[in-house]
Amino acid sequence: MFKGRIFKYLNYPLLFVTFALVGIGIIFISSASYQITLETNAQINYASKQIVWVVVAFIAFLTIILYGYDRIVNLSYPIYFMNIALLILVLALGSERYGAQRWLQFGGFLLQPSEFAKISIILVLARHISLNVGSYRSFMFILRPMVLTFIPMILILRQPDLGTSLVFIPILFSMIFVAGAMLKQLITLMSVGVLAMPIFWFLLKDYQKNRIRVFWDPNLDPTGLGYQAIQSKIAIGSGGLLGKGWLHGTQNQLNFLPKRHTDFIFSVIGEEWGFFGVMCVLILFLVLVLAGIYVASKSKDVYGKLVATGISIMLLCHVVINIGMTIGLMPITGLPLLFLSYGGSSMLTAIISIALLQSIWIKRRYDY
Amino acid sequence: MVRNKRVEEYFSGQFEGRIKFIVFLIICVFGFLLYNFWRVQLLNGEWYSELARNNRVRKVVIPAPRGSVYDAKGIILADNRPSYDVEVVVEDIPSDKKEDIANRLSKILDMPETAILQTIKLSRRVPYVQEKVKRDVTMEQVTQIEEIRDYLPGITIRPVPVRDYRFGNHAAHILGYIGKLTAREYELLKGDGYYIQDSIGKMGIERTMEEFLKGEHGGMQVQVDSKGYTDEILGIREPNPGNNVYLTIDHYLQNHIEGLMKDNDGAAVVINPKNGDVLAMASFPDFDPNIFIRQTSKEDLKHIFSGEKNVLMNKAIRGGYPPGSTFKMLIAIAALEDGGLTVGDKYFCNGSFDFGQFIFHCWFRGGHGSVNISEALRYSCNVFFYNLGHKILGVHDIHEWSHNFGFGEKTGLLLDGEIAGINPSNEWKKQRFGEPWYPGDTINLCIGQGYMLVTPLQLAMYVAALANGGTLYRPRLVDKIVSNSGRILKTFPIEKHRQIDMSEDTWRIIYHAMEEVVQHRYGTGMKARVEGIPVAGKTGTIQLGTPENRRHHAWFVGFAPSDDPQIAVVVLMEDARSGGTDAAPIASKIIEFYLSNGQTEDSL
Repeated sequence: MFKGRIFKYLNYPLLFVTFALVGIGIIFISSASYQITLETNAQINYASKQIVWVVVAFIAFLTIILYGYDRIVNLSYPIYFMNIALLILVLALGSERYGAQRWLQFGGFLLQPSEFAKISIILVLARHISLNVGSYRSFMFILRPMVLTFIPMILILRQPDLGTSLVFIPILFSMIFVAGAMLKQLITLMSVGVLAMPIFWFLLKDYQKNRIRVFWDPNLDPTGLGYQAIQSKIAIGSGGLLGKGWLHGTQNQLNFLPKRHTDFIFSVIGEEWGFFGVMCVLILFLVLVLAGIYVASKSKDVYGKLVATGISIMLLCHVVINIGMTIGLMPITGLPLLFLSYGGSSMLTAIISIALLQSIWIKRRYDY
Repeated sequence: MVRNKRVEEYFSGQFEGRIKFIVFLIICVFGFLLYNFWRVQLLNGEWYSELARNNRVRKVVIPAPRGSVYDAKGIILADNRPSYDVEVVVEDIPSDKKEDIANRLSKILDMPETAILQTIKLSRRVPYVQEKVKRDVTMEQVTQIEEIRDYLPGITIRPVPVRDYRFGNHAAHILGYIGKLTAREYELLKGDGYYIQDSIGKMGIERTMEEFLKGEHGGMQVQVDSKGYTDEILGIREPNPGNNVYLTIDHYLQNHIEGLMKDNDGAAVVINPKNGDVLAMASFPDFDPNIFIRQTSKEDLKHIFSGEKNVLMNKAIRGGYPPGSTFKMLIAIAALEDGGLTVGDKYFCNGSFDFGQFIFHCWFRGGHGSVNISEALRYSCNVFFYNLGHKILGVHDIHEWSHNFGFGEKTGLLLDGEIAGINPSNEWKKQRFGEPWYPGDTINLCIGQGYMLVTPLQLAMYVAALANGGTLYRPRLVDKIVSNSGRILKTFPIEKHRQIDMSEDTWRIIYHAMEEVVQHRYGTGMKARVEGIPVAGKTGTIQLGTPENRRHHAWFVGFAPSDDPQIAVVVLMEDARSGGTDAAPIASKIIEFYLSNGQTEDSL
């Protein structure tokens, strides 16, 4: 393979951390769905389905690395608008689950365009900002990125998917920050955010508002979300230092944890591997995010710097919102934990992000 | 890419500083997360382990008290009473204690040990969720269980409000009953705030007013001790009680009617002709809705559902009967309005009417002689009406007038299971039997026999329209919905369905003839007379079955006082002799009770 040499230039620590997280994910998906797999005679086996998704994602990984992020620059806008079209399609005819419309059905697969929207917004913001760096004094320097961000964000909020739309603001903010925006502009951006809060609240559906209210006062819904929150906390807390052992978490195996193979996978890790396991996974995530930032700082062009920054911050947000939710630091919003949670769309998003980081890293030293 | 000096400057200087700032933030965030896990898992780990060990945190539904049902004057017909359920959580029972517990419980609850063991086994389905051992136990049993509580780990007593139909069979068909959700109902409704052991209105007002009566369940998060008893309430959401439903029913009148008719099969409906309010509506045989609440044996329920007589059927809205001679007012109106009949026109009745090879009889075999429309109604002469059907009316006219008076369509009463009845026509017969309409069918229809089927309620609305001069109301059964705090949430307006267009003369003839039916000394409805109150009405006797196995149902329809009608009454007695003999006296007593202010006298 004439491009074979590019593998020499991969960022191996980043690759190792990615594999480690995906592996831990599969191990705990199989624990979280152990009972259901037994009950259905392996008719439902989320772990093996997840492996299929990992393979699919790995193909996407290779494609992106071989194609190169610098050629994706020119596709930023088409990808962005295609994603917007998909989001509109979801609102129009998506299938509903847990009261939210987030999925599009393609054959046997459920696709969640809001997952990919995070990547497409990073690409389009990087494209736009990198073409305009230097025009710091212009008000447009922050206005256009804001508009670009708010369109998909509002569409996703209408699905409604509070968690995913919450990730957009830090991405926008960090990319503008890294691109060199002036303090004045950052303050403007923040004030707009604060002023937009009431509008934001108005756009939320009742059940989303309840989630936020329940977060402040769990007694509002002691048998529903409040119960979920406390059962998750009990699972994690009862894990102690070393955990109860894989497949031995009582909260997990006795069906107390809701959505434990998707949004609450981290609670299972906390229960079965204890504080030790939590620390390992957190360190892996920390390395991952810092590696992303390192890639940003070493990238040879502004576009690469911005994409790497956006991706790092997106990964950070997922970690904070999802893991924070499992111990009651964040409201329950239904955001998956990238790399670990079960789900094809989120796995693809995670691996594509890493592929972009790797491509930026490789191009720094080796142009093909 | 844009490259200018300023940008170069930024990326070679400030940029690294900003990256470092971000790195610093990231490390802080992870540190904060790790700190929190350290706090939860290591500092408070023991406490959470303890909670997890027996899963000490349970969620408990606090059912919302169901709204009450009141009569028009505010008398409670259905509400809730406190009751106690015995429940089990199998995980709280030490495994060697199961037999012992089943044994002790079976003595107190008077049920077989095997049944209790079965329940304990069932409770394994969902971990740490209470399964009912026995519902609605007596206060004495509660005390006995509390006394030996230490020997019964895992067994708890839960107070729950249960439905109480205060007067048993009273207004049973109107109130209906509630029952446990079926598996299918639960699947459909679990998103709407129903829980798995919830109840739902299955019939009557309980069913049609479900959304108002139900209320919103609350919930509790409790921490329990090792025996399953609540130690500490971690969180509570108070239930929102259901709303109260006020009916238009007059409890005393309803009760009086039930007393009068309880030994017969049949139905009775009383309407306020001034606005269509249903003042009373009864169907016999009836039932006690409380049996669906009590732990009734399967045999008892089987008896109710598959008995020879369907006690659950509300004949007032679900029974289709030929109207018989009570239909003659409608035929008379059709003939006077559209057939050119006048008061002067007479037909001779010799007791029968020859029509080709058929002979139609009058009920009075001796014959009524020469009669006009008023006399024909007064004596209920069939031959006169046969002549109308033969000579001046077609099925089309009758069909149209029947439609005007609301026959052949549901009245729209807020109860489930109402039928439309049959208002026959040429097309209907072709469709139903594949046969054309024969002239003989019209003749039969003119005395309210044959294909025409009406419900007692439809008949009552027709009589009310005759009483008030031609306004067909929609029957109103629910007056208003009032919240638990007394706020009126919804009122149900009086609804005019149709204004029937007929001449003053026609109106006067019918009205007068109906008075004569009761007041004339040879009138068929003499027995409906009430001392001091002018009553107007019409009798009817319908023939059913084969000649060998003949059955007669008796009708009386009427209104009073005839100079200013306040009530319209329909009485149907199944398997009776005749309308004049059996139904009219009952109607007389109903009218007398209501108009002599009987409603203030508590006869319960």
